[in-house]
Amino acid sequence: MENPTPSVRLRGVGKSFGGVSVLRSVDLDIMPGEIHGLVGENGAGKSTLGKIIGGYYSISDGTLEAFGRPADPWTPKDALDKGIAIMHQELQLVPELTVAENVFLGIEDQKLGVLSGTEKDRLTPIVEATGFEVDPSAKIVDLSIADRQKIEVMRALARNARVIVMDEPTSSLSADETQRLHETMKKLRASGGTVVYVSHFLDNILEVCDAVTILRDGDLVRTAPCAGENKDSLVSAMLGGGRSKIAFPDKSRLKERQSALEVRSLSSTNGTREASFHVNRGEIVGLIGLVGGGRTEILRAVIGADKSTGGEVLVQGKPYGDRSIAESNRRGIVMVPEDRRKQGLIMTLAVRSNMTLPHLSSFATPFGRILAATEKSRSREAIEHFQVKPPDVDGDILNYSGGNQQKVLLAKWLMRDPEIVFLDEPSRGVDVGARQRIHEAIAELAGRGTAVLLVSSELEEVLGLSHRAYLVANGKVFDELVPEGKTEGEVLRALFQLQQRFPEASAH
Amino acid sequence: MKEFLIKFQRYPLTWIVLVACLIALTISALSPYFLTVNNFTNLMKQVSIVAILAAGQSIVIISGGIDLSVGSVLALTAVTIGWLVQNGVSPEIATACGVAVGTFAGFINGIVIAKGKIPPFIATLGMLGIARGVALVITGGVSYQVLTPLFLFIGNGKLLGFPIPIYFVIVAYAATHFMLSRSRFGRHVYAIGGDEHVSRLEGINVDGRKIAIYALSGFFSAVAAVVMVGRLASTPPNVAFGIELQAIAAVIIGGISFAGGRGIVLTSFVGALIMAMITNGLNILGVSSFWQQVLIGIVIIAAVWVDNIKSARRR
Ligand SMILES: Nc1ncnc2c1ncn2[C@@H]1O[C@H](COP(=O)(O)OP(=O)(O)OP(=O)(O)O)[C@@H](O)[C@H]1O
Ligand SMILES: [Mg+2]
Repeated sequence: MENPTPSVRLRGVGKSFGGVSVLRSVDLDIMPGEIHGLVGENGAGKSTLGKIIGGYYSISDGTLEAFGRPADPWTPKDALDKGIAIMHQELQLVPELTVAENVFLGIEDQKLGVLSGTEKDRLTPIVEATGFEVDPSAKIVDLSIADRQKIEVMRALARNARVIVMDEPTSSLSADETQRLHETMKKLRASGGTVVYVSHFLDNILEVCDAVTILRDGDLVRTAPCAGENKDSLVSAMLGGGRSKIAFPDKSRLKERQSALEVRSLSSTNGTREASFHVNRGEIVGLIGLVGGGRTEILRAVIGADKSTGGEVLVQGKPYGDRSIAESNRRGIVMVPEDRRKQGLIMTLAVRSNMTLPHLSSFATPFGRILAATEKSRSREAIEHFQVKPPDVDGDILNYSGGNQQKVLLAKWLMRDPEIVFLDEPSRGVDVGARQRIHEAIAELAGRGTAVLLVSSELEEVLGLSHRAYLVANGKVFDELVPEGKTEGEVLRALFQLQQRFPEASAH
Repeated sequence: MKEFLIKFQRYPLTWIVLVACLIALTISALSPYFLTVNNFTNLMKQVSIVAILAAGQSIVIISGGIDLSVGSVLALTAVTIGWLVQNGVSPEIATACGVAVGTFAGFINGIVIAKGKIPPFIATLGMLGIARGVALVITGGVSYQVLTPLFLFIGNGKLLGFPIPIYFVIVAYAATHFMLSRSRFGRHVYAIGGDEHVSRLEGINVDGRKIAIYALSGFFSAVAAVVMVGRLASTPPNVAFGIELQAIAAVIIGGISFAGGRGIVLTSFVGALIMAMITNGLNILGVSSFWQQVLIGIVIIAAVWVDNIKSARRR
């Protein structure tokens, strides 16, 4: 049998940025009708490879072919015209336009420049194909990240793409939504489409991919059929050593029960409804719930990012009314937000300036002159602690890989021990090794007395790290549970039972 | 060494200084008079006022805003000084009052923008009309003479062989550069310009910072007014009409991103210098001032275009 022409073929492809080489002699064939996984540590070059295929980056060495023809010239538009679309790791939607407008942006139906307004009808088959329930006339700004990610998928489908590069598409999807995305990928494959699937969730890769390519520090380790791989084989190829297996750090013993934060029937304009819970010093407390269940909103209401309409918050036993982010910050209550781009980092600043921004007073004289040397050395310590790559305190944050940006984000808020810290999806987009480092850092932090409130879509992470947890649904806090010895299945079942017991919990 | 070269290449001043040198060389090749001490002194005097305004404008633009009112605030300050001197107030006190009035106008801009949530373009467009109008109301449209020693010294005096306005420029840029690159306030200016929403989430007092930024711009306008009064020895209320566009152009030609969050203030001085050199050079060469406007327009667009190409190259 003759081999079909690869959809995308790379030969000896290299890429460097300003003299720094980030990909070296990559030979890769992506075959039509396959789901091709792409795995590797943070900064291994996965997104860069994806962007090369999608025409966003030009290659420094080697050749690129698409559907048997040399891809030259190769801009995002050329790629799209040939049927190659890319879904970026950092979502790129127009916030003030509606869902339907975004999906068909640039390919609107029109007559002599007048829009025909058929977007919503055209959206129907795509919604049916994907099973993604979204309001076509909702504005992007009003959607959660998970919903925005769905829009990105639909946008690629709307362009009849034959090859879709998905860069960590599931990083903010719930298990259920991830499953649906996998179904969509399989449907695409069945109709002859090709998906390049970049992910740190190796289970997902193993579940749906036909072939998988492993990158390590810009080198291609191997491309192999997924059937012959397992989690350990992937991890050790990614890390290049015997390292593998993630284990959660030991939970510190809590001696004294000293209340750090107590929240009493807090309600807010953002949909938090009479939430009550408490966190002790040195304790890690998880909030467990579904994506969109109002966990982030509870954190925002407590810290003062959104207005409260009722209830009270006690910090170290004393009431803390009239909350604002600035005041919370002064009291050592900080929040590591879930969306590093929109809420966490200032993309025009250098790594160092980003890290010290909220603590600038402690790096400046009373007159406001910044002590550059101290600032540098403290930032350097922090990024080394979190193994940010490259470890350059003056680098442009914009050029760091997604996972490394996430590490900078954490390093920023944890470089000075806060009294109380809210972590919203702390390990989003980071690789196995870094995730472990982050878990250790969280446990250490709690060990030193910080109260930690943890939100994560990965149940395993919450259960592995927390001393206690609360079930949250629809902006309300329900039962408390002790994760010790509980399996993910048991907790999920509890969550679903909750929804049956309290119909209001699922009213969404 | 190679690292140094890369750093040097990336440093924002490098390219714009090269461009400035190129223009200077071209003009001096065409006219030997251009590079004389006399003309240089002249050039520095011409550039000083726009340069001072551009320093303040740089802070505003880096913070993601814009200040269209600088010319009018300059006029308001000048008129305040002239009116007070006319009424027998000592020139020193009159100057202090004038600077206070200019800074206050900027402060009002800041309040309107930060507290009233009015976009900077609109708020300062309003102030552009208000300040100029008040200047006309105060004077009834007439210009006062201010032939006091203080202003004659500022306008025509020299120190160590250099005209006094140059020292104003040097101090303005040194102070602004220090503030932007070394102080907490400066860091916040970049942060707010880079992403205002995130800055708020970091606990930065964004509103307070904005008020300070616009007040500072008003202050720089007032300082420019003092130099202007010195040079004219009078305070016509229609002085510096339209100068805000030159200040903004200087900032843009220098290479500070109009989107905010990036850039260094020293480039704005070079930007102002480039514009002044073009005007001055073409004057020497006897080219009509109509053509000068065309050329400056082209330079503004070309500057940003080249900048875009340079950053696209890095992909
Ligand atoms: N525009 C750029 N300029 C300079 N360096 C860059 C640029 N884009 C990426 N890099 C560098 O290239 C390397 C690979 O980055 P890439 O984003 O491809 O990593 P990744 O495998 O997607 O990682 P992650 O899992 O963290 O998303 C990193 O070291 C990064 O700092
Ligand atoms: Mg990536």
